[in-house]
Amino acid sequence: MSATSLPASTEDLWLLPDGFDECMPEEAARIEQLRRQSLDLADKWGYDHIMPPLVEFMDSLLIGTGADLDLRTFRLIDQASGRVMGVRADISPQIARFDAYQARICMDMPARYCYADSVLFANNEGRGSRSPLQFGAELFGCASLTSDLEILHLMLEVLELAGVADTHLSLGHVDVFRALVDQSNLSMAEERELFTLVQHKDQPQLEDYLSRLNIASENKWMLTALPDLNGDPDILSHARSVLSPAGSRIQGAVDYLENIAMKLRERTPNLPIHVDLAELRGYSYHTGIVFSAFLPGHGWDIARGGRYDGVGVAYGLNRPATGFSIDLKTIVQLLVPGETVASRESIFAPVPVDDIEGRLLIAQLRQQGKRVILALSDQVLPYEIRDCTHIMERDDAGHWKVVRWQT
Amino acid sequence: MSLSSNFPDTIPVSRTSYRPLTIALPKGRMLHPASSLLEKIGIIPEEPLKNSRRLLVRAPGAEAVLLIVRATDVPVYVRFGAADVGIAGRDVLWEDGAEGIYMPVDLGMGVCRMVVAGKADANRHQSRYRVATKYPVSTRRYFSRHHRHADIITLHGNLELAPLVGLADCIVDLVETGTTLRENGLVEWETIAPISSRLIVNRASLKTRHTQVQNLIDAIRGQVDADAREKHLTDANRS
Repeated sequence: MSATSLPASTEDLWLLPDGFDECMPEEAARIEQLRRQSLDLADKWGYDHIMPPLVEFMDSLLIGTGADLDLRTFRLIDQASGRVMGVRADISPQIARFDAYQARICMDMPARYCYADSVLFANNEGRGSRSPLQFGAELFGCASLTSDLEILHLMLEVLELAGVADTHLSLGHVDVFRALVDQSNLSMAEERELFTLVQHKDQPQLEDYLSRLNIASENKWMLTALPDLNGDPDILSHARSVLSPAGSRIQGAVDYLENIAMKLRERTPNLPIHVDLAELRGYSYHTGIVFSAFLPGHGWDIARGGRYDGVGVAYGLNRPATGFSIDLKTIVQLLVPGETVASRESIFAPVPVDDIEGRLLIAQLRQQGKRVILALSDQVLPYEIRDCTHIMERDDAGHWKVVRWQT
Repeated sequence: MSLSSNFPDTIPVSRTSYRPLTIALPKGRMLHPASSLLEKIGIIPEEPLKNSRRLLVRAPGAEAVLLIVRATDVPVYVRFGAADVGIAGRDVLWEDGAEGIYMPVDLGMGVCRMVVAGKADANRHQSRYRVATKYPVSTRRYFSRHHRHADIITLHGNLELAPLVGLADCIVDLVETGTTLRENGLVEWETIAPISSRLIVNRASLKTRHTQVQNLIDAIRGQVDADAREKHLTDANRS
C-alpha cells in the first residue's frame, strides 16, 4: 500500500490569511465609487494621478522612511537579479522618488500628485486590514502654510465626499519635541526612550526617567509638561508660556499651529480641532506639522498626514513636501451602507441571440448607461431575474420595450 | 419593575448619538481598589460590582458605563476604542505593547514588582535559560536587553512549580511580598521593574471627547494625589 497525503480539509480552503478580506459586490461597488470620486476631486484641484510600481527593490523603497515602515514591508527575492524586493507598505515614499525625477526636468516647480492603490502590510498588529486601499495626495516644492492648508482642506473634502459626517481633526508639530531633544544633547537610545514615554503620555515614568538624565532643569520641566499640552486650539497660548524658556524654533512651531488652526476655523467653523504637542506619529520622517482625522467611537485615526521636507535628498534633491493618506476600505466599512448595487436599476433581457431589433435596443440602453442582463436560456429563470428592477418585453405590435418588473 | 428592565444590552455604538464614557475595569484582585477609586470621584455603579455577575454596569449619576473584563484584556478594549479609558497593570501594558494607548496616571495601587526568580543553588551563569512565565513578550525583551538567550515556556499560573520539577531554570513573575517564592524554596534573582496600576486612555477618545476624558483624568489624578498625601500623614502620625 502506498502512502497518500491527506487532502486539505475544505474548511481550510475557505480560510484567508489574517488581515486579508474580499469585498462583496455591494461593498466593492462603494469602495470603487469612492476611489473614482476621490481621484476626480483631486484632479479638479490640479493633482496628477500616478501609479507607482507594486514592487520595488528594498534599497529605494525605504528611502527617507522610518523603522516602522521597514518592519511593515513584505519582502521577496527577485529571481532575475537576486536582489531583495519589497511590496510597498506606503505609497508616498514612491511619489517622492517620482517627484525628485520630475523636479529636475521641471526646474523645481511645485508639483501635485495623487494616487489610489493597494498597499501591503507584513503585519497588522491585530488591527484591521493588511491590504488597505490607500488614497493620498502629495504637494511638493512648497514650504508655506498655504500648502499645508491646501492638503488639509483636500483631506477634509475627501472625507466629506465619503460621507463622514463628524470628522475630528488632530493637529501636532514634531518640531516641539525634536527641538527639546536637540537642545538637550541626548544619545539615540535616550531619545528613543523619551519618544516612547512622551508618545504614551506616560508622565509618571517620564518624570522618573528625566530625573536620571543630565540635562538642563528647564528642559526637563518642559518635556514633563508636553503630554498635558493638548486640547482645544486655545491651549496654544498656554503652551507658549509653558514653553517660553525654549528657543525660537519651538515658538515658531506653536505660532504655526495657531495660524493653521485659525485659518481652518475661518473656513470650517464647525470642525472640532484638537491640538496635541506630544503627538509624535510618524516622528521618524515628518519634519513639521502632523495631523490625523478621527471618528468618534472608532479607536484609531481614519486619515493621516503631515509635512516631510527633504525626503528626496537621497535622490539629490531637497524639496519641501506635505501630504495625506486615507484607507478607502476602512472608510467604507465604517460608514452606514448607502445606495446598494441591488437597488440600482437593472434590466433583464430575455432576447434571443438572433433577434436583431432586441439586440439593438440592448446596445442603446447600455450606451445610455443602463445595466442590462442577458437571459442565458429561452426560459426566464427566477434566480436570474431576482435582482432586476425592469424587464424587456414585446408589445402587441411585436416591438421590444422596457417595463417595470414586479416581484 | 425589575432592575434590568431599562438596562441596555449593549452600549449604543452609533457615532452620531450620545455615548456614555466607557471605563474598562480588571476583574479579580484589582477590581475593588479600582472601583472604590472611581466611587470617590463620583462614578458610582448602580449596583455593587463585588457580587455582581453583570459584565456591563452603568453608573447613571456620572453618565458612565463600567465594563468588567479580564485584566489582560483591558488594553485590548481600550486600544480598539470599545472602552474610552481603563485601569491596567504596568505588567499587562508591557506585555500588550500599549500601541495607541496613553497611560497618564500612576494610580499607586496594585504595587508589586516583576522579577526573575529561581532556585538558590541553581547555576546562574548559563548562556541559555529556560524561563517559565505568564509574560513571554516582557521576558524576551528583558533577556535580550541583557544579552542573554531565553527559551520561553508560557504557563498560565503557579509558575513557582516549574523550577522545582525541572521544567524551567527560572521564572519571570510578579512578586508582592515574596512569601510564595520562599515557601516554594525559590529566591529572587533579579528585579526587572516596579509594577503598579495605570489609568489608560484611548488615543482617539482623548481627541474626540477631550473635555469628558480630560476631566476624568484630572479628577483621578487629584484623587490619587490626595490619597497619597493622606497615607503619608497617617504613616507619619503612626511613627
